[in-house]
Amino acid sequence: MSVQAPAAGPMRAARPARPADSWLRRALRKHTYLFALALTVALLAINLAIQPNFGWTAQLASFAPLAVAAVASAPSIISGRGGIDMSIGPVMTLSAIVFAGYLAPAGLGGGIALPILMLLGGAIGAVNGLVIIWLRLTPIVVTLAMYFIVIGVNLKLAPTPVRLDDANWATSLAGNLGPVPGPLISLAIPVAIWALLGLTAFRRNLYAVGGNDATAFTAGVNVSAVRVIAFTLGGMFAGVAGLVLVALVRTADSSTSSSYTLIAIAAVALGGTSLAGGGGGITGALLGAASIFLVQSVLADAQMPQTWLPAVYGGLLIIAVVIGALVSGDRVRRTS
Amino acid sequence: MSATAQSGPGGVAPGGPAASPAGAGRPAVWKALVAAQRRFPLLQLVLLVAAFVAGVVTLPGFGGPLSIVSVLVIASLAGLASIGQTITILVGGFDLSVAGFIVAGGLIVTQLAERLHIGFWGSLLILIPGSFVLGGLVGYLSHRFRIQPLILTLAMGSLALGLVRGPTGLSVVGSAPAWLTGLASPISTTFGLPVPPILVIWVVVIIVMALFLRFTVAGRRVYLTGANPAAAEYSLVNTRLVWVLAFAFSAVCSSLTGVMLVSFSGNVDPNLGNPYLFISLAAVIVGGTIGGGPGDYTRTVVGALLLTVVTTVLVGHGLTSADQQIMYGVVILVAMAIYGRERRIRDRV
Repeated sequence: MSVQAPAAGPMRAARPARPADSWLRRALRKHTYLFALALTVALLAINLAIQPNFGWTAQLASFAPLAVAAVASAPSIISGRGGIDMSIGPVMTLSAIVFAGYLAPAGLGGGIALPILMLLGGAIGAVNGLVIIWLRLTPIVVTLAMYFIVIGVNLKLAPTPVRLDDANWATSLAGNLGPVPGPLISLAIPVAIWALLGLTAFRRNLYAVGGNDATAFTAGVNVSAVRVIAFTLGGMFAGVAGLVLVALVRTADSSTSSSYTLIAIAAVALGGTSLAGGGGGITGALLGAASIFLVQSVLADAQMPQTWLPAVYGGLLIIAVVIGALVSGDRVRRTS
Repeated sequence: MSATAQSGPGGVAPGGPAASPAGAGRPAVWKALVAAQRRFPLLQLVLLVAAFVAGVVTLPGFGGPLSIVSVLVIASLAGLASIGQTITILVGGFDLSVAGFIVAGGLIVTQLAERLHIGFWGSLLILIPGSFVLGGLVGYLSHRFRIQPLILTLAMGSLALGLVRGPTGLSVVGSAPAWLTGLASPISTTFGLPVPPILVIWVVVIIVMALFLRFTVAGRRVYLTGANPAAAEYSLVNTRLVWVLAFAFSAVCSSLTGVMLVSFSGNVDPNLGNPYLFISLAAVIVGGTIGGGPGDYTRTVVGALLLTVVTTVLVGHGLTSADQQIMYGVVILVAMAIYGRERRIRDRV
């Protein structure tokens, strides 16, 4: 089974030819993140206006987990065929639990712990990818199954929340590492990896596969390898996101396993990355995450009761994906 | 079903690899079994009986009448939660708003009814049109903008939950009317029969769903839309309307399941719906219904029974809720590996 965006039927063919696109629409289509950029700037201005003491480091620290989670969700979505990685949220929590419960008590420093967490997340991502290509299943079904499995593992590993020692080095990721704000460093890790991948053929191949995997296959791209790497990357970034999260909240709680899945995807969608794949990028994901974070910040400042939050997240996500679909317009639908 | 809906094999070659020429060189019995499996959830029924026998042998009292009724009540809740899921999967979608609408439904008939003094039936007047509109909106948006229903349903579930929880707040007040709690209690009776009313409701629902999908025009349109949306559109099926109604129906079913769950547990927990999200998915997939068809609600019922019996037996042997989550994940993967495989990319070029 798979999830399909409902196909373009004859009703599309019946539609009259579209008038020439406006410059705005063309610009938005070329730089899909522009909408999120404008939104971020506007929301930032509102935030700065209503919160005179907007602590940059503290705000960045609260922003970092969502930002890294959004970046982690991006590669699999770009890889197309509905490649939404539902397991990002649970893998983050798993990474947080493993760090707070096992690596931190063992006294491991950042040089060892971070690669271990990235390997752990990457391994889960790789399993997702391999199952998808070997069993030829729809990505969403596989990652959804993995979502359940990892939540179960989290519940087993940490039936009660695990506390991270306040004196642990990782807490500086949510504060200052010398003169540099810690959150900037944790944000820099996935961004740097993504930028480095830009030097290889992988990123171009990723967009090619996401745009139309059959065409990419005919052009000689190793579609399966690209897909597996995309999911592995997402898992690795989720591993980083877990560390960032536990550095901020200082507890790893298995009951929060699913909390980041929804808004991370919303951030990617709001950032202009089409959920159909083949477009967008992590700039958009970061800006989308920033928009969502700043909305939360405004709502928190306006004393919005906790119980309304699900409605806000849900509404935001719906608006985000609809705007994303409008911005990208009626993309020429790939037919295979 | 493949994501490339235009060329999807959909209802034509449903069995995927099993239906392909793989049968060549296999014994005739095997071929007959594969053919039967495609028409009928044979394997699931065999496993169901095996699981039940295993339970009777290893767990004392498992075969008793009260225990069987209890298992059936739990299965009926799972089955009722999967009605909408079955339909949305048949039209080629997915519904992850089940959990949100279940809690919203439960909260409306208990807390909101209490706060607004509108009583149980008055609250249904909010519940049913409300969930119909929200669900229909999902169907419309995902069809109009070709957005994955998965994302939209997830968001809509959250929105529905928030819309109800916002006004009712964190405090839990109000509870189900007494007659409602009798609906799903295993010791209650229906018109003198020693079965709880919820089982009677479930049986009626099963029959109605089977007749609807098989013998009504609307039911056939569900299959058409799922199997090949483009072909359905050429056959003058308004696929957008089908999507809107399918998701609206699913949302209404989920929120009414929430009402049933209140009758089962007596009160509402904000996490009440979560297990039912993956139970509903697992029941549909294990039953053998795949996206865009083929499949029907009867298969889902078998899936729900199988999962409930297996879970009950395993819980009797000390399975924790964490293990259950892992088991459902693995079960979904295994079932999909049997049913829902896609074509090779080199075959799609």
